[in-house]
Amino acid sequence: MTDQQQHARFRLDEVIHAPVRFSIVAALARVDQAEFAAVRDGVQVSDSVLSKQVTLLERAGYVEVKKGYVGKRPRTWLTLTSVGEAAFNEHLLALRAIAGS
Amino acid sequence: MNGVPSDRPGSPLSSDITAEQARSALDVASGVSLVTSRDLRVLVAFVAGVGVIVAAILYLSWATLSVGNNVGFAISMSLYAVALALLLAIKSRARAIPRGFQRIYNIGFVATMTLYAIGIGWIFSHQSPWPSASVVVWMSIVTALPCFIAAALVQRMARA
Repeated sequence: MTDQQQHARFRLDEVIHAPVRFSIVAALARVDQAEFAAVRDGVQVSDSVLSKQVTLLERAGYVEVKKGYVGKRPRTWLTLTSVGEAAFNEHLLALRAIAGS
Repeated sequence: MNGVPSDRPGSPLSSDITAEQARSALDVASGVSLVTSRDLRVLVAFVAGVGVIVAAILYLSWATLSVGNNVGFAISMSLYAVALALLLAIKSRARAIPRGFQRIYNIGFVATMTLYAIGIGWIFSHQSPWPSASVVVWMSIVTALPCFIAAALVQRMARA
């Protein structure tokens, strides 16, 4: 069976599949980078939940995590990688195909 | 909470999803925004500020070196470094950087620095006599223009 013959749900990305990770990736897709706290507030999850989900996204190569300081305060910055962006776009295409079916 | 993600069974994307659930997920994807109006104000001020200080350093280079004031030139370059550090500190206060900002800023900054280099080169190739203040003021304004345009584009990103 070719990709074109497969139902669109088979093209959904397993890593982005989960709602929290989907929201994180969707949020990061609209920014060059964002602070951990901004993502936490935007996606409305706790620090621990975000940290756990970001770790999974980082392992998949979808999100890059950078740590640094603003003044003396530690900051964590999150960036969607090009691999993550491609996966998210493919996921959206599958969703649109399902939504339109 | 509206649009709050969860991992409950039956929530969008948790299993074989229906068209309605896919539409709901797409709504979530288009509704999440991390960039606040405060972030945008900070970034616009940063980009415009870079234009202002590069323009200022062009003018000050002329104002000091055309009268042989090398100490004044060194001081103005130091002030430039301090102002740039201050602007970078201001920029770091933005919690989210909108997509495309870095590209717009880089283009604006490179264009402004190119005009600065051309301006400095032109000024120093016309030392007898030195160009008039009004000419240098106009050159400074033109030098800042790419950064001002970049700042306006960043401002427009908010409305897009």
